[in-house]
Amino acid sequence: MQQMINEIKDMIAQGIDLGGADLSSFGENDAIFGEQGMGLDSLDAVELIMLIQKKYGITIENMQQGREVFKNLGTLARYIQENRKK
Amino acid sequence: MYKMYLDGYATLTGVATAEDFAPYLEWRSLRRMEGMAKDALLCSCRALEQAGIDIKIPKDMGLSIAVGGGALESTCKFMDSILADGDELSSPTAFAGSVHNSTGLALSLSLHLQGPCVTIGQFDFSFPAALLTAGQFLQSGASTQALVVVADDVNPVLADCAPQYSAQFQHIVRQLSGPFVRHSAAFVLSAKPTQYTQFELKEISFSRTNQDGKETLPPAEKLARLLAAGTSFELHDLFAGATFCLKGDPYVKPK
Amino acid sequence: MTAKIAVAGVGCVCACGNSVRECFENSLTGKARFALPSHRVKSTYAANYPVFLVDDALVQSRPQDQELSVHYFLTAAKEALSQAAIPLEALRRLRVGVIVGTSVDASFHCFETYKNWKENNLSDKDAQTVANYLSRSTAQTISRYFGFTGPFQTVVTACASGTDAIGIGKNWIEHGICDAVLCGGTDEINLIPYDGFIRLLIASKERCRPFSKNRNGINIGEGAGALLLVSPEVQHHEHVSAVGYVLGYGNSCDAYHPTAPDPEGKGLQRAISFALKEAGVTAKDIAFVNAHGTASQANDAAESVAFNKVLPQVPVWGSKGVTGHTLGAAGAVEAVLTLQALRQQQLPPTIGFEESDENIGFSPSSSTKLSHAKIALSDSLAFGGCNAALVLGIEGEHV
Repeated sequence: MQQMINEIKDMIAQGIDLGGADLSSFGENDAIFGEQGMGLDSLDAVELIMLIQKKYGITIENMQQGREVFKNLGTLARYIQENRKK
Repeated sequence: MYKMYLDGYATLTGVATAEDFAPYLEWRSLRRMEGMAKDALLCSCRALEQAGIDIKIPKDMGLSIAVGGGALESTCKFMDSILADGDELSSPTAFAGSVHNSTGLALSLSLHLQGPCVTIGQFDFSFPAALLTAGQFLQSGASTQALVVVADDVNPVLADCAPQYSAQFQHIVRQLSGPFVRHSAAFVLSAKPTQYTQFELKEISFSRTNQDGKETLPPAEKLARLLAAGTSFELHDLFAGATFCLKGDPYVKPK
Repeated sequence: MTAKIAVAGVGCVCACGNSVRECFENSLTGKARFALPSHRVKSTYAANYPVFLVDDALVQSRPQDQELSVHYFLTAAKEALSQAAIPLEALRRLRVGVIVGTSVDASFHCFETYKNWKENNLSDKDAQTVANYLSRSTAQTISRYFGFTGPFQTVVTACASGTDAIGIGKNWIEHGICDAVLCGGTDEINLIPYDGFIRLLIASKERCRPFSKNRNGINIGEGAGALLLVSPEVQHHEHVSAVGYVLGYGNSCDAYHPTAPDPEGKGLQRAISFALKEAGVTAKDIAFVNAHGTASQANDAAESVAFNKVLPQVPVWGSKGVTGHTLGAAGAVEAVLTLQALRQQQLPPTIGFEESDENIGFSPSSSTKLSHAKIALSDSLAFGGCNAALVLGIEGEHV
């Protein structure tokens, strides 16, 4: 789990411009979106969907589907582990 | 014709840095922002500061933006992502940034501008049209002040093409070295004089002609140089089938 | 009271017709060219995401050295000028400005040339493409074509461009800068916005459903709307029978988010309020509003909040179910259709609407005969949070 979480954080850091934010302290229960979490917004969400598709071969069709998956780093890590094609 | 009062202006040749923004905005808040939008934002912060306007408070100031080739950095990034990864893995963020009015969005968000906003895209003659639009905002009462912004970026394909095929480009590129440097400017204009007013601008005219003259500097840059001289001026620009004229006098506060 | 700026002529081309009359008749029935764009766009999405397309015969009739967006606008402009019936020689003696809204025609959308450059394979043809792109200002090209000598302006405020072009044109005449203005908007199907909206998860694989509970995105469209606006002096001197009037224009920024509108529609509320005030009317005088109504979840939700606040009980007509989202042309196409609805005293249905959404708070229009309707409103919301609104009218007690 921790390895997947680290992979996800690297993917976000490389693929999304977060203005130099340090993601090292974020863990399994931390929200991906919003100022209380990692600070991503809805535009970052669609970029993240693309990054996940590119790296893991998983297609997320719409934001409704994304909402549950992106709740926090833990939910996203589990979703990728269960559904990855690459 | 519109009469307007210039309260502040700033220009930038080159690229805005985090250090430049230190007096105004957190660098992190500019994340995802197109490079030329950052340049335009920096000029705007400096011009607004000169005009005594707090960038942090919401205001209904009008925003009239002149772009040259538009958001080229994001446009090329989006096309790069299509070429590298195919349509279905191209970058949505790059597309969002490529929209012509992305500079307008960046400025309105960072400077809390909630007044009218129009972006004009017609290369060299975007600036004269943007000045007219600012005048239109002020005269219609849509806002009492307007920020006129010039934002442009280097087109990498043009940078290669123009020297190689110079004959095809001579009549449309002011200087072959000109468009290959990033340039932006911002001008704060008011409907009535304020304590910060530096110049009174008057007699703006802009029309299409059949005369084809050649000038070497784009009109915004010419205006900035005339303003810096601090004396009355008449700016005439004649290029690629259009003429632009602007007169201005240093503003003298009534006793 | 400010003298009214008359619309001397209108023109329109889009997926539902090659003329104003044809477009409006088909907006009543929903007949439109809605198809997969494989022959127009080279994208892997072209097999799944249909769009609203201009008639192929019109596309094919484009002169070789003319951009398609320019061709569309000239077609609409010629219809407008023909209706205005002011001789071109007479117009050329006046100060005639040209303002055109667009997105594709002003952008560096030369994908094949860019690809060749990346592959170090630039040719003479590519160089000419870049030179043409640099020479091309949509408004200047139109101005040059008709021999006008007033100011020109290519508005690129994304999806509000067409609305802005008309509002600015009205102001140019009111402020004494021009005697007449040829204005509107134009856009063509292109790979960049086609892929881009799909990538933002805003586009739909089905025909769009404005204001519907089950709406799931936009369909891109293409086309042009053109209006010739004239001053009262020109209207009088040239014996113009006005098609209608542009009574008010408002524009305001959300300052909220790069791609999503303010969910409370505050910027749109300000734009609508200013337009109403400029026109000297209130919401009670508005017979209907032609909404932006793209059928994205966010747009229709935000727009409905604004309408419920500043245009309560005003019937809402969404026309993108029959035109698609024509981007830079949208505001102009919709202004022309709005005027036509007033002239014919017929409010078309909102094609594509299926099921009411309780969060929207109203159901959009069904086909309705209007009675003594003189004034309507048309609004547009742009990427980047720019909102624009026009109050349009025909002859009557308020005009």
